[in-house]
Amino acid sequence: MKFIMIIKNVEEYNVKNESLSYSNIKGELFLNDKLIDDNYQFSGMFFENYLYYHPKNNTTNFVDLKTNKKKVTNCIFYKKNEFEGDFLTSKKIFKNANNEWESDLFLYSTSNFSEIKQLPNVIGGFYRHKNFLIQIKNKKTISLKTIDLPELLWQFNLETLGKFEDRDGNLQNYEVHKFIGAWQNSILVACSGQLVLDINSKTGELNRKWQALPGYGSSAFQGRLQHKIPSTDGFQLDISKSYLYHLAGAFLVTIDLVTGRADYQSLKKTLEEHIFSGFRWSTGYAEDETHIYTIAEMNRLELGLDYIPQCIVAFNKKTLKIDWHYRFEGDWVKTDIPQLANNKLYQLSGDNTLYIFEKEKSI
Amino acid sequence: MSDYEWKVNPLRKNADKNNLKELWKKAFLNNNKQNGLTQEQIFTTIWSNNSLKNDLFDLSNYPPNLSQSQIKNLAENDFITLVGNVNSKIYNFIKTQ
Repeated sequence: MKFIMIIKNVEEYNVKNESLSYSNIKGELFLNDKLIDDNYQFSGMFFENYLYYHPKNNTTNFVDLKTNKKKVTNCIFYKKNEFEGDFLTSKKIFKNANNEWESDLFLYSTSNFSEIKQLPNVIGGFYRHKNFLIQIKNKKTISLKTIDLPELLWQFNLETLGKFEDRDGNLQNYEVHKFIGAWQNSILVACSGQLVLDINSKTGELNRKWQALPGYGSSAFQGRLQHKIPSTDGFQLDISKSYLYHLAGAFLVTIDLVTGRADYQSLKKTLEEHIFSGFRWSTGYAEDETHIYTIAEMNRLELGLDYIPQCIVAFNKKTLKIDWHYRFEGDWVKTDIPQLANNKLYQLSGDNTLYIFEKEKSI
Repeated sequence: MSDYEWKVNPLRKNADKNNLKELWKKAFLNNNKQNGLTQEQIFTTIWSNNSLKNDLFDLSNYPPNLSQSQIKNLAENDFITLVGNVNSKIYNFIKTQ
């Protein structure tokens, strides 16, 4: 991996293949260094051969990546709402009887961005799963529905799981942290209480759950968090989609989706070799076939420093060793997750500098 | 919100949790700049803190096709609802000894 360049004053960025879009604090949006708009509101994202973004008037602009021609549409488009070649959007937002925000639902064409039909459904937030919509309400119910019918196909309520003891010894209800992803006929959900659920996407029944991990964790808080998997918002589905992993502190924790086995491995040795104290807690990672890319923190005591230097690292998934790292001199990283596209690695820093690296054959 | 705690001196007059919540409610709903941060400024501060934002507003519950300004408007509306109910989680930081 070699350092290529930095871009300063970057607020948000997105990458796809060779294309890089980024916005700055002045409200300017760039595509491959060319100014696209100086009045955007939502930073550019890529969809097929377009960069799309939302100007300040609740519309969506599409920029053709080849010609840079701009197409203005009168609806809000997000890639996550693409649905079998078309996309879902809405016109009216209102509160339902339970005081929750919902919207009407329209199907629009992605070929000409015009309305196809209104769907007989209203909806709050959702995640897409194949031809279905997954809804997570109030962090405690997970349900599945189709776009054509208002009725739910199934609903799973986290209250059926009972309660857990938090670090202070108080009993708490389980809540959904995040939707991790789908695997075969499973929906994988990260919850509070160090719990990961595997819910059958066809029936809504609980297939499996992971919480216990004997030997893992510290004895702080009277050991209430010990012998359990770590906080679940750091789990990510591996690109081979066969296991979940969590890389933080001095451990790699994995959940094998095929065998159902949860396991952990100490990475202390490889961390010490590079004078690292541990991997930073993160809610996601960049990943390719060979490596996981994340942030590691250096051992300030050993280095005799009064601050903790941070590095972006390439962690080898096979050897469990750190093959490469780059230290951010005079800079730091907040919670931004690295991104990888077309053999290039991108990391946004706390000082709003975008660092760009290129993967070499031997990393 | 669980990371924030505001403890009041128990010797203070009317150091009852409900009284304190009503006082904080008044502060949250303040519209007079001369009296301190306004409701709008408080909301903007919360909105710029990702951790607080995600804890107080269940953004995954919001309809999926909103622009960023629409999302912020909905959240601001929800903020007023949260503040209006002294039993809501926004008051969880108030601790009495």
